[in-house]
Amino acid sequence: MVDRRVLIRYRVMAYTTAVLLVVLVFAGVPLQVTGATSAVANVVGTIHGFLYLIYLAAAFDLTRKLRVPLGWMLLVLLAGTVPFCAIVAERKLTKRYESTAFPARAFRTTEGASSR
Amino acid sequence: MRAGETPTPSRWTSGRAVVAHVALAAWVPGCAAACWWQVTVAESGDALGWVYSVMWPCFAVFGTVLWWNIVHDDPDTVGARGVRRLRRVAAQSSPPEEVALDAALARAEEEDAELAAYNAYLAELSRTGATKGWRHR
Repeated sequence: MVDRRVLIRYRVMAYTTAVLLVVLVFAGVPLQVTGATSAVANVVGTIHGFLYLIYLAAAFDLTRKLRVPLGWMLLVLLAGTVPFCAIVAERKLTKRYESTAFPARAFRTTEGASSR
Repeated sequence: MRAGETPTPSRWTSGRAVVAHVALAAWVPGCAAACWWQVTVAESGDALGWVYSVMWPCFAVFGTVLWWNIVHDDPDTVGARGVRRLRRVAAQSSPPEEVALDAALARAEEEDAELAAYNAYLAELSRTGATKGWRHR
């Protein structure tokens, strides 16, 4: 059973990088391209850049412990660089975590005791 | 080695490991090139280039850690094959505390028909994948 803190750590980083990336791509970059200001892109880009490293470490830790196949693991790692993808990856990994934490097997024997 | 015997590949020469070696051999120089590219971007006036010129060496280190992990994985315990193996093991064995719990559950259900019905309901939901509602009967 995987430590719940591993999941929490990953989820915090997934949401943080996802929000920062959306701000960077849909506010920072347009402002820079139109020549209004490059301050937003610089600040948000810097923060996202360094937090993405922490995201990588957290996602690597969780996907290894959940035994996610290698190809999927790489997609999860890359999801931190594509807008909105980190949120999708977070949902999928949380579902996977929950299915290992509360396996359906717990109900196995009660089926035999059913009156119908 | 005798003829007809298939050699067990060492962890460094298995197919999986060789793919990892090739990927790493492409990844690290790629990161170095990207780092240098970002230095030129930074020198041409975009300050964000300095940040990314620090990031790329970090990515190279990360790739190396991943490579080391892939090479040292036991192929029978990782990925889809590992999950299948775990399921097989879990299906074959019941830990003693679970057996005791099952027995206690069966006794409680014998005494309480309503509990038995409710557990059957939960088991049915678990089997069909439906979610529990407030008014279940």
